[in-house]
Amino acid sequence: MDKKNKLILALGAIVLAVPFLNACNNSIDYVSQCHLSDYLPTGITSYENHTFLDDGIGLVTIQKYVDGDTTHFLQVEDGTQRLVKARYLGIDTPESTGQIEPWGKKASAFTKSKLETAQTIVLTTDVTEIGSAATVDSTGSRYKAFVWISTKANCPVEDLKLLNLWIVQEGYSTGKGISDSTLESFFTNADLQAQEEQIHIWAGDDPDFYTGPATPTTLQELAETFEEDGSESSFNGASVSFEGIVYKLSGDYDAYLYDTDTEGNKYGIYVFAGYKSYSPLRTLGNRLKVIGTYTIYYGNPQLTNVSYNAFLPEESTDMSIISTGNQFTIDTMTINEINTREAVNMVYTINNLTVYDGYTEIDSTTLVPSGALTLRCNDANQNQISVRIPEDVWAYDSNNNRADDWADFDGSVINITGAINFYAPDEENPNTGYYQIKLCASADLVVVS
Amino acid sequence: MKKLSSLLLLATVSLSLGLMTGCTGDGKVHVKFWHTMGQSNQALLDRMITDFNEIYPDVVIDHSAQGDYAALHTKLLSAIPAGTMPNMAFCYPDHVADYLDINAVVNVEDYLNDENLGYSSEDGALNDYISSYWEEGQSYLTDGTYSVPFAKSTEVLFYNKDFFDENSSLISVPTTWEEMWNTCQIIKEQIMTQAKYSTMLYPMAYDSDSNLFITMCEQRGIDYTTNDATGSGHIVFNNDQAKSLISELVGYYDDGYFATKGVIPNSAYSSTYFTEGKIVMSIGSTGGTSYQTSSNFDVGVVPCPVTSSEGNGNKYISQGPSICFFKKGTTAQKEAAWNFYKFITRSLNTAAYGVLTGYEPVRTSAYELPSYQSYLSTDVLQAKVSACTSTLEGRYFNSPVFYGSATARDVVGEIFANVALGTKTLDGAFADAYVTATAACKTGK
Repeated sequence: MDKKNKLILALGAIVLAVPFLNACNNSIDYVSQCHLSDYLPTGITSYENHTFLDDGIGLVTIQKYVDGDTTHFLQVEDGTQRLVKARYLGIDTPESTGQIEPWGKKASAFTKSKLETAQTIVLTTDVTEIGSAATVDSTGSRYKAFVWISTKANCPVEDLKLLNLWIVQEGYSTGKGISDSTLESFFTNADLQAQEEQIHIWAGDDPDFYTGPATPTTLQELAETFEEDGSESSFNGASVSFEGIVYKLSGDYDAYLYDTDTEGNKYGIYVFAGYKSYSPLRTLGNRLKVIGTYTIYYGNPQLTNVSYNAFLPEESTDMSIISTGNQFTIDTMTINEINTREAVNMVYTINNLTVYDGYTEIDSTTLVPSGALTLRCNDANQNQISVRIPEDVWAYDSNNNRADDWADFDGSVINITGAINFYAPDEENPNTGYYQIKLCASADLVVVS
Repeated sequence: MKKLSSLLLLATVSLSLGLMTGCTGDGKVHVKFWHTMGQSNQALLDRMITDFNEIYPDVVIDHSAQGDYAALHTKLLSAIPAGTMPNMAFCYPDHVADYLDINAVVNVEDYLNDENLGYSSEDGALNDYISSYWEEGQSYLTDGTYSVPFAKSTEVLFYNKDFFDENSSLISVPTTWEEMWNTCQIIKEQIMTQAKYSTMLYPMAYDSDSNLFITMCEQRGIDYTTNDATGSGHIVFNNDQAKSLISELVGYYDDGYFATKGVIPNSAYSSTYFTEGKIVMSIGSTGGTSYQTSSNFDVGVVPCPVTSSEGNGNKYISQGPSICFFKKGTTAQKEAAWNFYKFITRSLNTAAYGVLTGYEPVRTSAYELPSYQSYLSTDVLQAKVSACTSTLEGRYFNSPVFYGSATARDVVGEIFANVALGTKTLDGAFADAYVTATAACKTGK
């Protein structure tokens, strides 16, 4: 082959290769092609003078950033603010709160960054339903929403950008649950483009998500590290392994473990199983070696990302049973004794508390009692403590009827066994809070008079 | 210049070929696998891949979750014409019919009959697959096997055992639909009227409106969809018997005996209200067992009610992901995908996936593993469900599938809610559903 022919062949090969190379550089900006104004029904030309909850379209402001696909907004109507917990339509970003998944923190940060710079935030229902009241998702507690934003104040409706679609286009979520929507093709195309370009979740491993071996530690070390700096542990977000005995089952899937040091001091931890039933974790008296991600969840340490499979065990990530049938006792304490950071995640019994006040939680979406109650109690010395009854644990009053209002216990004297939690009512000041005892199982609250 | 042009030639030709064949330059065979698994299920899949790579070290399984089944279906319908589909994917039979219509799916019988690709002793025998699961992949209008079972589910009746124990003088767990409605009537009229049960909403709830319609049609011998002798699929649910069925069900709804996801407040899953104690019986997928778990009461599980003890009246819907293979990639990629499928459905692997997810293993030998037998005897709800469904072999049904049958499945699920909520008349709801379904179908092929 002479020089001329080689050059021609080489140029031909380049020409052949260019379309493939260019495929990565010709990204389509689907977000800029998707205009809310194209989908407004007759009679609605703007988000002004409408509300999301009543009309399926309306202005909101931020109340709380939750994660990549959930944000709490505030809707103002007639001078009154109403909380709107919004679950973004068409997406499902990796978890970043209770469970931590690769790319979860980054997806959450992306959503937050776009909302923080937004001067106009408009929520709508699926576009075919604009004009009708907003509807909730299958949990019954979050509104399904498209979130349209702009960095301009009072942005015209045609210039708003669909954040849900943006998240998919940037590769922070796959498109999901949108097969009935008019906007489905935008999400499908943006999703497939992000996959082809291999960005973010489609790029493979999250570089900041630790996947190496777990750091061996003890519950004592975790507890002491947590105490050292007052709010957070140096282990926060790390993969750790430690041993502990299962001594209280919590809710439907989770458990509290404890271990002792050489002097007999006890240290506890809450293990969040991610809605999976792992039999070793749900068997009292098991001494386990557990492996997972240590996180601080609203001021309380917990272990997440645990796993177990008896059929295909994986020593480097699965929990394992060290021994079974271990005896344990749950100590009876006074209010003063549990009012310390060392008590967090320990399970104790406190007897003869008198309920003098309380709070019945109302679901902000359905506006009916959620089932969660807070009982404010004092002991014979007028020391005070709150008893938290979560919505997934049923409590029974003195007539053995299931309680749905704190007043069902008003004046009652109760004995309770539960886990000590730290509760910060003001999320802006997580260190400003108090200790409470959380009911883990129905039988652990006994009305004595 | 000569050296430069030669290097340029070599580099660009290599680059062109690499990009065109999907080779990433590591010299390995890459298999792209799309599914709908959550994070913890993917972790288990990764373990299987590690084990697979001990046998096939030169194969890389690139797997990714693509959202729900509907999203996966939509993406594949976009990716197939563009040639960007994976080598293998989770599927439902209705979806495979759509892929078959554009000639995108591999007939795996070519593999089964191949000396090297057929089932080895390590893979287990082909007839070890539960027959009804395997036959699902042969139910298409085109002869052949176009999908293969990965994990299967059906619907079961979860019930609040404490509630039934407390009221045992009045009610027992129903096994037939006649018993179900009688039980619902007693609960509604004699038990829910008591103060302690005042927060209850319904005696029973059914998660899937589509499954309710399709299962009831199957059990009562009512036409839903059919394949005729010429191999054409037809929409036939717009008939008097089906209308009578819906009228009857709407009557039970009006009486407050039951609800479905389509009519229940906030469109919540029945498991939400079941675990909250607002209903006492929940009919849902075995794949969603973990959501039916409650520490507040003992949860019992039995097969769904039937209309008779034999024949069609005794049938249960079969669901759960199968896997299909696409006409894409090199022979090495296609064969690696097939070998991977055989591996992840080996006895131990299908058992492991079933234990983690609540789905049923697809191999008979999995149920015979001592470790699985031991698991079935535990008190975990998923084990109770598996023990329950292990008795149902031979009683599963699959509806005819053809291009557009996925739409039929969707629209029949809207009929009950439209009539019950009064948004459409009985005839109007059926007529609208029929028009939508038939428009989606190509008949007379």
